Amino acid sequence: MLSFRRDNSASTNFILWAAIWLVIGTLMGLVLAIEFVFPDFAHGIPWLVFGRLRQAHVNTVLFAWLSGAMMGAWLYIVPRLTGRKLYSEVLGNVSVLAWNVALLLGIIGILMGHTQSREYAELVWWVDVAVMAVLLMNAFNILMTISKRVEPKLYVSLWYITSTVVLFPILYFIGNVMWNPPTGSLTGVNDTIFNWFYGHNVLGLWFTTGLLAVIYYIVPKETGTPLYSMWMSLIAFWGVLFFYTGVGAHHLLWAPIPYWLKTVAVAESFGMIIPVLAFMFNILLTMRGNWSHLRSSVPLLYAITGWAAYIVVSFQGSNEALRGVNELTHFTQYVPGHAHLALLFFGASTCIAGAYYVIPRAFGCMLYSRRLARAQYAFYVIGFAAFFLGFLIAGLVQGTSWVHLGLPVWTVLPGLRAFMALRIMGGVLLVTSFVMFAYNTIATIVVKKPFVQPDIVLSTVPTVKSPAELAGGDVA
Amino acid sequence: MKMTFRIVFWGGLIVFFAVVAVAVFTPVAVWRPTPTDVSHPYTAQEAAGRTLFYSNGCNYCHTQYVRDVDNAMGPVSEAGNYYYDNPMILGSERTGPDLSYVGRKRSMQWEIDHMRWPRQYSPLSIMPDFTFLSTPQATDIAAYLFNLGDRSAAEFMITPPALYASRTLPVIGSVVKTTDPNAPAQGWPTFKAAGLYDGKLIYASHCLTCHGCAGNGLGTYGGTLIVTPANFKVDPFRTMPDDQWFWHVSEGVQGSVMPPWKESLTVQERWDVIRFVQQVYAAPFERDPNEGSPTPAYQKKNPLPITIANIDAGKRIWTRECAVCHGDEGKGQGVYRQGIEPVPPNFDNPANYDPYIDADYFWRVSEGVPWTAMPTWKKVYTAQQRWQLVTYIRTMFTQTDKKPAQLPEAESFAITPTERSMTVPKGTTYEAGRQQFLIQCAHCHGLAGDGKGWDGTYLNPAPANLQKKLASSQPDITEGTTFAKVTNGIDNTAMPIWGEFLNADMRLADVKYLKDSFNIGTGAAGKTSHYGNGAVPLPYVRTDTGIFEAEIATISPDAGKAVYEQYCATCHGETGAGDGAGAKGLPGGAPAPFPGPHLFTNLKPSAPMNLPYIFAVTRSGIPGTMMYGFQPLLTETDIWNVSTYTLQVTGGKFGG
Repeated sequence: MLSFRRDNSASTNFILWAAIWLVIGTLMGLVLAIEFVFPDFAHGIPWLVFGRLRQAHVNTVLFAWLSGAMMGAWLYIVPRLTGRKLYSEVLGNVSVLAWNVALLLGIIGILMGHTQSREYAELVWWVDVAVMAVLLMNAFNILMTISKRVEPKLYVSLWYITSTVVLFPILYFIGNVMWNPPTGSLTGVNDTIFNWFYGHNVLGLWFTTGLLAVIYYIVPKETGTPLYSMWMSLIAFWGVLFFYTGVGAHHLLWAPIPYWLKTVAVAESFGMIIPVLAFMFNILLTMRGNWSHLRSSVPLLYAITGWAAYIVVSFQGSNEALRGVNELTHFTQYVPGHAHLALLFFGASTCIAGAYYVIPRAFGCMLYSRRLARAQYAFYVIGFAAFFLGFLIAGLVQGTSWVHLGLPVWTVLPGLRAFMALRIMGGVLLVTSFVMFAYNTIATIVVKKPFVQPDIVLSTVPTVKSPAELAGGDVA
Repeated sequence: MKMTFRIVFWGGLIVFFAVVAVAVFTPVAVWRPTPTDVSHPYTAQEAAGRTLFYSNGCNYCHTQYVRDVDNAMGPVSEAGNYYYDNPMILGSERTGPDLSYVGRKRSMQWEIDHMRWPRQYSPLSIMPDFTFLSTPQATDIAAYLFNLGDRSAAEFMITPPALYASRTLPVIGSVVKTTDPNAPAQGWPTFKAAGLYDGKLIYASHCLTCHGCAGNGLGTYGGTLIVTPANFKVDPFRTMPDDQWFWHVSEGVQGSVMPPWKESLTVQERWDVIRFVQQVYAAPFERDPNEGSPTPAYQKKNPLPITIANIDAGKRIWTRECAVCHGDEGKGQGVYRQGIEPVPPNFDNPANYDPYIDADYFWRVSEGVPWTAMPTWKKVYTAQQRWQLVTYIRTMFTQTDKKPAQLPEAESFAITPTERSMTVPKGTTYEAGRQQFLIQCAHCHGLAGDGKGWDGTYLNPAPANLQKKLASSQPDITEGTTFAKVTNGIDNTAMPIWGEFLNADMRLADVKYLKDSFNIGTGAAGKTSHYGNGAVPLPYVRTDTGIFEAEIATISPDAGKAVYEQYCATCHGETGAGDGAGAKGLPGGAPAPFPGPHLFTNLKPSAPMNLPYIFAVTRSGIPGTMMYGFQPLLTETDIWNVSTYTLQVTGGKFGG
C-alpha cells in the first residue's frame, strides 16, 4: 500500500479508500433517512441539515465510493486483459491521491454550504477541475495500456472501459458547464437540459458502461466459461451508447422544455430495453450450467446480484420514462428509490464484487473471511429489500395522493412515516453490511491469509452391484 | 464486426456526439424562451437569499415547477419564468410544497419564523429547522421567497389565460361610467339601470366578510387571514383591466382563500359585482346620490320598544360592522373612511336629523345608498337586527329618540367569573396598549383619559373620565372588571362592545395601559424620563424638511398650531409648560415643561429640543411613558407641522 510502484497498487489503493468512503457515505444516508422520520434529529447542526447532507451523501457514494472502487477494478482488469502491466503505476497512484483529496475537500465544502446545487453536479468549480484532471490522467493511463497491449484480442470489458474513459470527461465538461465558472451553470431553463443530460449519464455512460465491464470480466472468469455471444455483446455495447446518451430529458417531462426533446428522451429511454435484453440474455446464457459457482465464488455472487439489479432497474427506468407512469411517479420517493436500486443494488453490488475479486488476487492471499462475506450478503439483501420497499410504497402513496386525489403535498407526509421508518430499518442493515465489507477488505490485507488449494476430499465410491448381485444370486 | 481499438474509440465518440447534437446542442440552439411576467431580475438581497437557498439544499425538497397534473399549485410553469435563474433549481423531489408561487402568500416574518421553527407554523411539516441561519441570512432567504412567483408579479400583472384574455365589461344600461363630477344627480334609477344594484347585492352577500364594506380588504373575516384580501383602493386593483377582474373573480386567486366564483355565480352576476366594485371602490368619485324617499315597502315605524337590550344588540352590530366607517362615536370618522366617496354622515347634530323618521334609517340600512359604499344590509341581517341598529343610532347618536333612564353608574351588567378573573399576561406591553388607546379610545376619552376627547363631547352620557374613575379607590376596579367593560361595552351608552372588534390580546393591552396610566402607583407612566435619553432614532436624524415639502405640502408652524391644540395642549399646555387641563389629574404627574435652550446643555449644547428629535418623538412616542406615537393618527405632514410649532413654543426657530 505504501509503494507507488508495486504492481496493482493503484488499483488496490482506489478500492481501499473507496471502502472507507462507502461506510461514511451510507452513514450519511442513514442520517438522512432518520431525518425523514425525526426531523429534529440533528437540530441546529448546519452541516447535518437535510439539504446539505443529501448533496454530500450523493457525491460521497457516487464519486468517492462507486467511482473509486470502479476505477480500482479497471486498473486491475485492464492489465489482465491486455497481457501487460499498467502503463504507469505512479500515475495511477497520483490519480488515487488527487481523486480522494479533491473529493474530501469538495464534500466538506458541500457540508459547509459551498455547492452549485445542480443535481449530481454539486461540486464547486475548482473541485470539478481536479476531478477532470484525474479523469484525464486515468483515461491516459488506461488508453496507453490498451493501445500497447500484448493480447491481440480486444475483450468486451475493454470496449466498455475504453469508451467510458473517453466519453466521461467530455460529458463531465459539458454537463458541469465548466467553461462558465463560478456557478457552473447556464442562465435560464436550458441549464436543466445540460444538467439532466449529465445527471443521467453519470449513470449511463459512467457507472453502467464502467460496471458492465466488471461484470463482463468477473462472470466468465469465475465460471470458467467464455461469453455466450459476441453479437449480443455488440448489440448491448452500441445500444447503450446510442440509447443512453439521449435519455436525460426524461427527468424534465413536465418541465417547460421543448416537447419534441421530451419525446426523444422517452424514445431513447424505452429503446434501452434493447441493449438491456441483449446483456441480460448474454450473461444468463453464460451462466447456464454454472449457477453452482454462486456457492463457491463470493465475487460471482455479488456480480450476478449486480447483473440482476441492473436488469430490474433498467426495465423500471424505461417504464418510468413513459409519460403516463412518469405523471404519477415524478417528484415522489419512487424516483430516489429507483436511483438506489441502480446505484446501490446494481452499482454497489458490482463494486463489492470487484473489490472481493481484486483485493485477494492483487495481494496473493485469501479473502479474510468468506463466512463474513456471506453473512454480509444476507444483511445486504434483506436490508435492501426493506429499504427499497420503503421508497417504493412511499412514492406510490405520494403520487396517487397528489395526482388522483389532488391532496396538497404536506397533508400526505404523516401517511408516509411508516414507510420512511422502514427505510431506517433497512438502512441500518445496509450500513452494518458495508461495515462488514470494509472490515473484511482491510482485514484481508492486514492478515494476508496464505492461499491454499482447497483439499478435494474424495468420498468413498460405493461399489456398484450388478443386478444379479442385487437379486442375491452369485456372480459367476 | 471486428471490434478494434479504433472502432471502439472513434465509433464511441461518433455515436455519442450524434446523440448529443440532437438531444443537447439543438435544443439549446433553438430554444430561446423570452422572459414572462413571473420572472424578474433579482435584487442583491434576493440574489443573496437565492444563493443561501440552494447552498442549504432547499431545492432538494422544494420543487419550483408546476405541472399540468398538479392540483391547486398555480399556473403551469413556463420556460420564460426562469429567464434570470442561474443556476437552475427546478428540483426533482417534492417532499415539501412547490415554491414556484410562494411569493406574498405569507409575510416575510412568517417565512423567517417558519424556517426556524417549522412545526410551530406547519404541524405536519418534516422540514429541518434552520435556527443556525443568522437573522440577515434568514431575511435574505425570506426576501427571495417573498418575491417568487405570480404574487410578486402582481406588480408586473401577469396576463390572464386565453379563456379570459381581453374580455371586457358588457355594456348595460345608459350610464355606466360618469367621469364628469358635475353630471346630474344619479339616484336609484340610474344606479339600478346600470346593473349596479345587482352587483351591490352580490357584494353584500358574497364579498363583504373579507373585502369589507369599505372595500379595503379588512372585512371582519379578512382580518383573520394570512393572505389579506385585495384592497380595491390601491394598485393594481384600482386600475386593473376588466379581463383581470373577470379572471380573478371566476377562477379565484392562487394562494389565497378567494374562491372560484364561476362555481356559484353566473357570468352576468360576476360582471355585475365587478362593475360595482370598480365604480364604488376602485375608482370612486363624488356624486350626488339624490336617493329620493323610502319606497312604500319601507314606510314603517320601528316595531321594537326602546329597551336597553335592543340598544345593546344594535350596538353590537354597530361595533362589528358600522364603526369602521361611521366611527364608534357616529361622527363619520371611522378608521376606514379614507377613500370613501361620498363620506359617511356625521350624526352628532340632532337638529339635522329631526325631520328623519324611522323609515329613513331602516330603508338606508336595508338597501344601502346608491353610488356609495353603504352595503345592502338586508342581505346580512334580519329585519329585527336592522331595527335594533336603527334604535341604537337614534338613541345614542342623533338622539332623536329618548333612551331609557340611565342605570346607576351606567354599568350594572353582570360580569362573568371568567372575565373577572382575567389578568393581563406577562408579555403584554404598555406601548401596544397605549397605541391602541390612541387609535380606538382617545378620540372620546381624551388623550389624557379625562373624558374630553374631541369626538365624544356630544354623547350622552359623556365618555367616562378615566382618571377620576380609576383613581377613586373602588374595590371593584380590577384588571378583570376593566377587561369586562372594554369587552362588553357599557349598557345604554355609546361605549362600544370591543369584544366584537378587537381580539383579546388587543383588549388586554388596553387594560394594561389603562391600569398603568390612570391607576395610582402601578403605572409605567412617569417612571421613565419624559425626554428619554435625548437620542433620536437614526432614520429621523434629518433636517432637510425640504424633501417633505416637495413631496407633500409646505411645512409651517402655523398649520401645526391647530394640531398642537387638538392633541398636545391637553397635557403639555398651551406654552409647553406641562400644565394642560387634562394632565392635572394624571396619577403619574403632568409632563415636565418642554426644556428651553438652557435646560438641555447636558445633552445637546446650545440647542433646545431639536426638530428631528421632536419629529421622532411625536411620530413614534417615548417608550415607557404616556407620550403617544401619533403616526397612526396624523399624516407625516401634520407631524412635521406640529413639530415645527412645538419648536417655536420652546423658543426655537424654524426655517430661515
